[in-house]
Amino acid sequence: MNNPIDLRSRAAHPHGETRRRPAWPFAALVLAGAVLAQPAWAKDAIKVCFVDDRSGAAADTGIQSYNGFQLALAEVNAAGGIAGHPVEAVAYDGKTDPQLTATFASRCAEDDGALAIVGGNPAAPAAAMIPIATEYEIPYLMLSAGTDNLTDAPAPFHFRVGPRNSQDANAIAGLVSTQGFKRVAIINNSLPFGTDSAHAALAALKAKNIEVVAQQTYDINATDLAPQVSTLRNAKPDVVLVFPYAADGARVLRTLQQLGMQTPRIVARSALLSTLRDLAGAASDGVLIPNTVDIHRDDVKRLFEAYKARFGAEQPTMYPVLGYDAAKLVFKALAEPKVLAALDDGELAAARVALRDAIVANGHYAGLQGRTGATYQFSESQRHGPPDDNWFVFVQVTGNGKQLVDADLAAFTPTP
Amino acid sequence: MEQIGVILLAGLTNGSVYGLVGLSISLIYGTNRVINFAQGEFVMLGVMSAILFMVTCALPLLPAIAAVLGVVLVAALALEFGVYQPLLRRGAPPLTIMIGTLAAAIIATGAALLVWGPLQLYVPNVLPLEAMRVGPLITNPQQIAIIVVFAALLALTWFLLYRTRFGLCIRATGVNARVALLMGIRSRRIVRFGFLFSALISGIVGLLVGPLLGGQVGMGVTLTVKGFMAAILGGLGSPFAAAAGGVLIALVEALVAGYGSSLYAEPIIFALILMILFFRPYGLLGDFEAGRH
Amino acid sequence: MNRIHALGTGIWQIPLLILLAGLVVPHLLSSGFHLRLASIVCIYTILCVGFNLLYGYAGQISMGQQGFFALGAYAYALLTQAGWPFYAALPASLLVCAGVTLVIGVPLLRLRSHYLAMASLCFGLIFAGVASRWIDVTGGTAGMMVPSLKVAGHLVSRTELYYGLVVIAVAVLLLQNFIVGTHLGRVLYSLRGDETAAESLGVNVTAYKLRVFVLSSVLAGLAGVGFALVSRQVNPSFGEFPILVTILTVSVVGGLGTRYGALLGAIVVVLAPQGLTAFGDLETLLYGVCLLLFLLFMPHGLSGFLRALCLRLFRPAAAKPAPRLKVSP
Repeated sequence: MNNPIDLRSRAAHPHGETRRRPAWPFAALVLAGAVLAQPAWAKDAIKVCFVDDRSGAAADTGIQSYNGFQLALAEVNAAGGIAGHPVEAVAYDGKTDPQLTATFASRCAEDDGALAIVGGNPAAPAAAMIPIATEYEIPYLMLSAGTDNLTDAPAPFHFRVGPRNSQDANAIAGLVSTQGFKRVAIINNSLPFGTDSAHAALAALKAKNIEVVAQQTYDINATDLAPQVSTLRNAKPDVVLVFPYAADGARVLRTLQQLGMQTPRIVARSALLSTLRDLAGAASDGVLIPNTVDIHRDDVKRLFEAYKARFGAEQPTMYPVLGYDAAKLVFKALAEPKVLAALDDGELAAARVALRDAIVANGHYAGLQGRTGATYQFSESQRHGPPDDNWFVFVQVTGNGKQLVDADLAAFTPTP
Repeated sequence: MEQIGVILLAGLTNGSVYGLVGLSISLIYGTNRVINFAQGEFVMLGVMSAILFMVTCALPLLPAIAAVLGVVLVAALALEFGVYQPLLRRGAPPLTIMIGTLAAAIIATGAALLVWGPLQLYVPNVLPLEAMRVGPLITNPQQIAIIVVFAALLALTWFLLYRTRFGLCIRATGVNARVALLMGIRSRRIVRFGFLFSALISGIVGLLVGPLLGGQVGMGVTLTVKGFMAAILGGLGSPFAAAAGGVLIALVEALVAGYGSSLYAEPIIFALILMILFFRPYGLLGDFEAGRH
Repeated sequence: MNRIHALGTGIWQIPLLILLAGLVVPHLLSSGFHLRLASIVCIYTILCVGFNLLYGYAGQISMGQQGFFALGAYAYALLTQAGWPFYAALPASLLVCAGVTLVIGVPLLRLRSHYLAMASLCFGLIFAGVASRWIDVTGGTAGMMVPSLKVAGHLVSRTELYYGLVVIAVAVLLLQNFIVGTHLGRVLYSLRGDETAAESLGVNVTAYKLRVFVLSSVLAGLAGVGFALVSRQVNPSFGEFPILVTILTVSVVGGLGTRYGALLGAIVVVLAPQGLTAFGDLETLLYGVCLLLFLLFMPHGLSGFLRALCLRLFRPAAAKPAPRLKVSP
């Protein structure tokens, strides 16, 4: 029994012994579970699908967006639905698995008869839904997935509601430039979000002729990031950009503090999530974060009050707003006469095409992202909604990582 | 000069974590030739139950630690009685048992998902995370504790294996389980000890790394892979070789990050392991196992 | 009795039935979503037949098959991007898979059991790591779009693509049956047992191991190209851990070292998550529990279970397995 090869060779007898006990009860159980559930199509309800990661590595973003989506849904149904049709959400958890996510998207399009798909915070699953949207001609509103090239060649039924990585990068590079920083250091994790964002930041800083004195990447499971951080320190930067996920971002901030670096720090949108700030505690105080939600807008305040009442308090970040805005964009377009006419005729395909046309026609929708007055900019050739200007708002962490407040830009300058 | 010190210290801290996971994988493998895919889940359970007992139940420190270790020990028994023993009774080959442990890992993740949800959680620190100086180097007590515990557990394992009668039985089972059984060694008990002791070590790792890594129910897989790599690089047959493999991986990782391209550090390390296996097919320190073939 | 025997061992009969069933399926399905699932079943079948030949029959475990799956997909995507037509890009990407396997195969196959498993896992991890980092070439995490398939100016539809995949999957099953049924199969069996004994019987162990390794990675690459065409894109997740878990699960659920285990396993593994969505939060837990139950109560997978069932139903008196190859170690 001791020799692994002896043992392994026993694997090889496929039908080597007779069965001792019947297995069909279990097989039946499993097969029964595998039979596809097919909900009946209620004629007057309009279905909108929400497909995103709600249990994997990007679950916090997916859950917050879904909560925002549900708030919009509750609002529209409380107001009598859309021309008498109630709106129904069909939600699937894609678990950051592109294959599963794409399969759920086609299930939405085919079996559920949804009019639109909303979702897509992590990049790879979000990208996997684009071909599905094209194939089934169903409008797909992608949320915070930021990889630039996803909207470079506009797919007819695809819309991006969140900012792309190069916009974050440009906003950060712009801030770095206006605040007078000259030597930038970048540290990012080796996950897609980290590498993609750092790539975009390098390009944005190069365009502004700002020197990058060091760039470091780390594995999210490394408990000690001192080698990377000490390399940054030795390069003597005057500002540090961090592109992390939640827990590892906290470790970067802690290590920066531990190695005595007082340099101003800018952390990517992952720091909007409370986990990072909880784990980093005081080490995250003073950090600047790009956000697309202006906390001074009354409509934004109202949304987060409603959010607090239903799901518990949440810092005003882009994720709930993305789900809310995407849902609102769809609902506004659904109310267009052409869409409703197609729906009343029972022409699902025509309704989807009309819905897409309506979203394009309402391209300058004013949502809750961006500063007052900024609007989305969808058009036939432009499927990336957020404009470059007036969209980003920098927030600053304070109170041992607990609060996000207006950034104090006067004090955020190179230390002499 | 300071840079190399920082790198070595970081290599040692990360290496202690990888090494301990590798060591626990090797401990189970040593008793029953099964690779445990659920080893990282023990660490995850350690981290998550630390949150449960220290934050949610707000137990005092020592009872909380005892409760955390209790949880991983129960999980280890569940793995042995729910997966390993039934599969073994049915004559399942090692790959099937390995996939059984994979199923156990999925079950553990699924159950943890129900208890703790999918979000990344804050884990309370037992030791302070404030910076402290050791000579020219800056570190924190939590990181020092990881290295100290690593050394202590290595010493404990060595003592158990080489200075007790029971350890002699374990080693005999490792060399040849059938002969050991014929010599009157109760191999079942040895296997159970392997599961329990390795789970205990992984639970302790969980307590130590939780405050640094944060807690998420899906965190086990990547730790398992790193532990595998450590064990394979050093040599699966010996817990100490596996631990050394972990330290080596972390040192190379830190060196590549410190002096080379940190972006490609991960692929470079996997490529290095692949190269090393080409020249040393049973791992760097695997002569003992190679001799048996 | 003879009928049962023929059912179990014939090379042609069952694949023909599968082909017929596969060709009828689109007419029974109500939606393209089901067609997508059926296409993925075919893809996993091709992928796992390769793994089955390599591990189930020849006893050489590779945990790097997902790397070849992704390699085939990426090679195809890059070649089509460079303007190659389908009929050139497909064989070229399979050649790339074969070439890479030849290069790493010689040193890799010196390793045994867990070391072989981990070394091949390293290959898979290296590929996925590079694919997500080398953004300028691979498109990073979001990957690359793959244009819809055009053959001789005709845009291939979903259904036609599915028919193509069914034909290929059946051809692959036939190839496997042919290999297993001839002396090649016996050679592979001998590798699984004692290599030294095989060598002393005049089997060129290294050459045969390399051949079956190349074959299995070419099949993985073929499946990868199919997946790229069905998904209309490639991304690094093609080469990551979940695909490996899928391969292992399909093999175990279907039955390792059986002829139709790959197909049966693929059907269950593709359909199960769709059925489990109804359970919400319990999904992951139930998936694990079902996998464990399969392992415990169907040690030879669905294939072994169905076989035992057939034997019991048709030959209640002599519930013994059909005679098999006697080249055990």
